[in-house]
Amino acid sequence: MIDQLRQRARELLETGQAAVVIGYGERAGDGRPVPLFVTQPAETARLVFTPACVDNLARYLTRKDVQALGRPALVATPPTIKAVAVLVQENQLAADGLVLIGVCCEAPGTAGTACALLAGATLAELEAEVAGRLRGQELTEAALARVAALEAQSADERWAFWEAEFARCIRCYACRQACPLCYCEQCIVEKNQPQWVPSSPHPLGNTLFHFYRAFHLAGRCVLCDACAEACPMDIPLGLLNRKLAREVRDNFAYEAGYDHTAPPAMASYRSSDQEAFIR
Amino acid sequence: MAVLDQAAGAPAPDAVFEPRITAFVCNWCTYAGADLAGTSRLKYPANIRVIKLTCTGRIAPGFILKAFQEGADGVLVSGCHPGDCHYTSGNYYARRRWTIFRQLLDFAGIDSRRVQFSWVSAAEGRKWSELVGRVTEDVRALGPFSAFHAITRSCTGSEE
Amino acid sequence: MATLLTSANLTALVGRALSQQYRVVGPRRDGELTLLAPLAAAEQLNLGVLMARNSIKEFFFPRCELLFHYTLGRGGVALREPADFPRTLIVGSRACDAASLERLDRLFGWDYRDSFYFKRREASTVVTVVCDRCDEACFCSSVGLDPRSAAGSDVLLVPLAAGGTYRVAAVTAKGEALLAEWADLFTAGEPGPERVAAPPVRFDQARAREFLADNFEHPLWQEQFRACLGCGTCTYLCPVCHCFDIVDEGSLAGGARLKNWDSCQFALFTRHTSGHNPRPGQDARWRQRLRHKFLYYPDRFGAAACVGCGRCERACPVGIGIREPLQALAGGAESVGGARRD
Repeated sequence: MIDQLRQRARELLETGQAAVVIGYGERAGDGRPVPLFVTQPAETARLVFTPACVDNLARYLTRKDVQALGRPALVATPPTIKAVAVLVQENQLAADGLVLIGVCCEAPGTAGTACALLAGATLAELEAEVAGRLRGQELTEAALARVAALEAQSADERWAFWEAEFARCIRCYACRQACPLCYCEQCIVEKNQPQWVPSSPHPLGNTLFHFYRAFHLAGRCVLCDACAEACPMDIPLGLLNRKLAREVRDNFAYEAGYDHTAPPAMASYRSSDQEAFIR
Repeated sequence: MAVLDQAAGAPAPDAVFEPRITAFVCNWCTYAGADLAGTSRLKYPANIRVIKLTCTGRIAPGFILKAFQEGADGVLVSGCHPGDCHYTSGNYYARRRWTIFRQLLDFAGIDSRRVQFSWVSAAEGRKWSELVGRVTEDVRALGPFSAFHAITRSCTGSEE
Repeated sequence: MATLLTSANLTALVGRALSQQYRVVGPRRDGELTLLAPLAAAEQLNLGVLMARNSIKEFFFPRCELLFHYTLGRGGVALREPADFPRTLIVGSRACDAASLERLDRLFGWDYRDSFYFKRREASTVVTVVCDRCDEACFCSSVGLDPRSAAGSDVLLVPLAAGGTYRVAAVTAKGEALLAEWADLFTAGEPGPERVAAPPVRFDQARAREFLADNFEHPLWQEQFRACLGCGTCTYLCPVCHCFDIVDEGSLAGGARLKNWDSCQFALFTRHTSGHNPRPGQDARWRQRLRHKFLYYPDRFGAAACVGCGRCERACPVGIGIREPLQALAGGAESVGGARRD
């Protein structure tokens, strides 16, 4: 599979269909997968793909310095493809503005499991393939077990839980920087006229930052867990994102990342939306 | 001691707790309805401070969080009934936002009775006055939002 | 003959310090992580990991520090400075952590003496446990340190190969005072072989500095660091990084001035109010980081602003860290691009 991947990358560069291939390489010394930007056909030999390759590379598509390299080809796992779908949906990318090399593993993160190229070439084809693999698998009872456990606790217990988690936050913004959908040139935390979110890493500032971020991702998050993996303090950000993703699914019958032509959940409405909570 | 002062002065221990309610309302419906309550001499608790916006669609969830930061114990958000929005659809977008935002607050451990939503039209002065009364009593029963106010800004060097 | 301390007595020492109202800071389990944090009980001390995710820097240079409260009233402006610099015992620092204190001392005592930092230094005693293990990310030996370095420590505890006991060395007068205060917990004895592990030298620091001095412009800056996300993980976990931001929080009636950690890796770090940003890309920001640590700081203060602890590499979301770039730089301009191949 890796030979096919490298061959495809090489062809894309040689024929000029892509100016850069964004994929995974291996760090010298311990072989940890790292993002790799290949502009020369000969360098495609450095591309790898293993179950350990879980970084969401769509993150780089909205970076100006990467865009300056020219038309990208992206080695895209299913969560990466979903992220691309949302970026296209939100007009940050054109669907034909990049080449996608779809890849997947039987069990991402688990060493030794089989990896393969996906069959699709266009975004629409890959979306369909990804939906076939993932749709209905992500917000299952098992995946939401920790969310449900928190929901079963009292409000005070939940508050205490999140207070303890947010107290560890050092406001490094690794979560934000790793997320393919946090692409604002100026984040809400960087606005100080007025200062909506204190920039200080005290409990109030941290709580507000995570509330804002979770809400800004509602209906957009593709559940890739790049944020949770990036967090150096092991804050379980995936819980917040999954909770809201489930609410969006249950209330609006919408899951982000499967159809770049669909109207985004939080930027659309139905007159029949439920309003039992409104007096 | 919190870095910032909270409500001006602490109440005497046996005083009745007077909740501070912030209301974000739309100009065309709810604000007019509140105005009607006033001109009709309908009484409602003075615990409420009303902030007028052009449309509920303008209300960012950050406003609600800011209100709590600034000392509110409860927040009321109100606008035109679905179908009656002065800007056609602002309240529909708002409705979706509120649906998700209140789930976020609940998941974080904030009692959902502290943030309430309603549709109040320009003709519903009585509804407004009764609504404010009920929301005030709901929040009074919950007590001061001390959990949120207590997390205000503790930093190394302050005496926390 | 040497002074010895058993692990059990180390725990007892922590217990005694706690009962005497010391703030005791040590590595403590927090879920899957081990973090340096104030201990509530001696049993929380966890010396079974290489090092905590965070460093001891935050107990001297806090993440968020109150500089003063202010209130505006009829009489004018009233300021209230913090007075809370608790007597602190740090147990379980590593030599790299402690060495960072020496570097921070020079910086915070340079052209402006940061009185709060030094009050915390005076109020703290640092007990370093010498490393009996290291990993691929460690490189203290490449920056002129080793696990037994005493810089910044008041007491060194060296683990003995026999297990369960440390050889104790007082480094400073403060360290001696600590040994005297709880003298009954220490014994005299033959130490026997020690169990200390040091990482191999991974690069030539002088060659890295040479590259930095000669290559302000170089394609490496763009190519090597394109994957960098521009978060603050490396700078915030680094025991030596010390950039900060001053913010005022409050209203006209009252509030506070705070000093918070800041990171040269954030996109807006050098953005001017005009909108101009002299370091607009991650290439320029990484160049600055490496030059600060391995050129500017050593030129001024004599040692690199890096202690080789490896925290940046372990925590970097995209696996960059600082070791690998330094190896590339030390390999020289001609070998850049070849540094990744084994």
